[in-house]
Amino acid sequence: MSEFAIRTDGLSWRPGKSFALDRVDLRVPVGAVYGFLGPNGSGKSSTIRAMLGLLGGVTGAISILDHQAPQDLPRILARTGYVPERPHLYPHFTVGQMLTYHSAFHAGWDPAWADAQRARFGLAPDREIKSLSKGETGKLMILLALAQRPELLILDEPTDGLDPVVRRDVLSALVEYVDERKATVFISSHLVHELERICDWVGLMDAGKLVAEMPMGRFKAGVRRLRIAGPAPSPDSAPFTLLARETPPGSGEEWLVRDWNDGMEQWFAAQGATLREVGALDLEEVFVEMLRWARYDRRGA
Amino acid sequence: MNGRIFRVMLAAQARYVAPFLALGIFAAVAVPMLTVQGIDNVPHNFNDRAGQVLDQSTMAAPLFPILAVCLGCFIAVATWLPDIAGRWVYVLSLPVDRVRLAAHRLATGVVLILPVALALWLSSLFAISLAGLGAPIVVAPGSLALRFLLASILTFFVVSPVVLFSRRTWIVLVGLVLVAIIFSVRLPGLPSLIDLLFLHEMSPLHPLAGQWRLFDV
Repeated sequence: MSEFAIRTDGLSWRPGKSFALDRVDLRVPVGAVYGFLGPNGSGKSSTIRAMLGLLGGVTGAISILDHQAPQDLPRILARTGYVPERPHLYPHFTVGQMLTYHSAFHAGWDPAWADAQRARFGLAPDREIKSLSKGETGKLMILLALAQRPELLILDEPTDGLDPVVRRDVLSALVEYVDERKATVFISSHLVHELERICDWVGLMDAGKLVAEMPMGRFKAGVRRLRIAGPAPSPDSAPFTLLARETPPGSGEEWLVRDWNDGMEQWFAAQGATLREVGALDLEEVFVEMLRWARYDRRGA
Repeated sequence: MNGRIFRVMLAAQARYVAPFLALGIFAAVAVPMLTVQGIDNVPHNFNDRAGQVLDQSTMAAPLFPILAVCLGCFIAVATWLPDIAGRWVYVLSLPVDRVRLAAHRLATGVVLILPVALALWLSSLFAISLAGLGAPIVVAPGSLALRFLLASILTFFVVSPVVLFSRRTWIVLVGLVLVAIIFSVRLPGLPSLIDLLFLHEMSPLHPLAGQWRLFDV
């Protein structure tokens, strides 16, 4: 088996004159909980829909669980639980009918687990889907995806618009499942803090491009805000990547850098500059700064 | 697994169309009864009776193809509407080959047409037995019900791809229909849309045309 549960090479989609997805090269390791971050409209949902054969005119190579998409989609979907951004279940079904219907398509369906989880989520089997609240629909979606016991979960903004209590229920069910089954999870969201708690890999989308992909630890740890006293050195020979520089009121400069490691302070001393402070950023700050850097980089290019 | 998939799809579809299917069965029962309505009262003179019975049969005849077309259209719309409303997201994320999924959907539509055709056949048999029609009147409840079944299925298969057209294709189609209507009004020599749809021999709906008599002489 490949080391990647999902691998795309040059994944592109051009519905109009411009690219909605532009040469996206994803690498999602087996067993990872991969957070797919990006602002609204950055192409996260389109990437997912392209991978699952829900868009026409997609180019590039897509491999999911060692099968090629879209050629082997039935095999892929038999092993993948998918929660779309907007629930598109049949509104005239009841919860019980929806579970029965969905179970018929999945050989690995666990009826006992599904029933226990349905009760835990407080979903009455005779409730019509059109009468469910947004939170209840979110719970039903995650229940349908998990009860088929998939090896891979692809979740597109599964908690978007849900209140904190429901969001906690949904994420708890997800974390329990991943702990139990060691499944790979590919979860897209623009709620950065939510992913910070559960993900060990991060991919960052912006304007249809994958601008960064790395382990969460590196994503968080490698980005620093540096305060430099006095005249700043030229960053050309720096062992890190300068993302942004600002000159706050007073003296000195503030740099935002990535690929930072302990010991790199010495580079400043060697350049005759004084590094006054090395500050860590939380994930949301890193996310915002990475996006800013990516956009600046594109404009520069 | 395939059998179970078909069963759940059929059950779901049957629940979805149940009220309208009941209406279809009611109509299928009513039309043959309407055909024989008042036949008891016609004179027993041979020529008069045969003529009036034929008139009665001819009068009700258009109702059979109309019902078949309505049933086929309705089942076609009801078969695909939930997936269209859901933008195909749910159904296309199910682990089934898309051709097989479409075949299952078409098969459920055909199965749902069956009870209406069966109701028409049974009602025709009952109506004929009530009317007490003897020679030289020939009754054809079986062939009429079979023709009704085939016509409904034909309409269902013809309308299904039309239902699946994109919004843009629908706009073009409606535009063409409007143009056809306008030109038919302005140039009376041109065939009407109904003639084109049902009477032109190249039309897939051509088999629906012709006489649909429950009885003849």
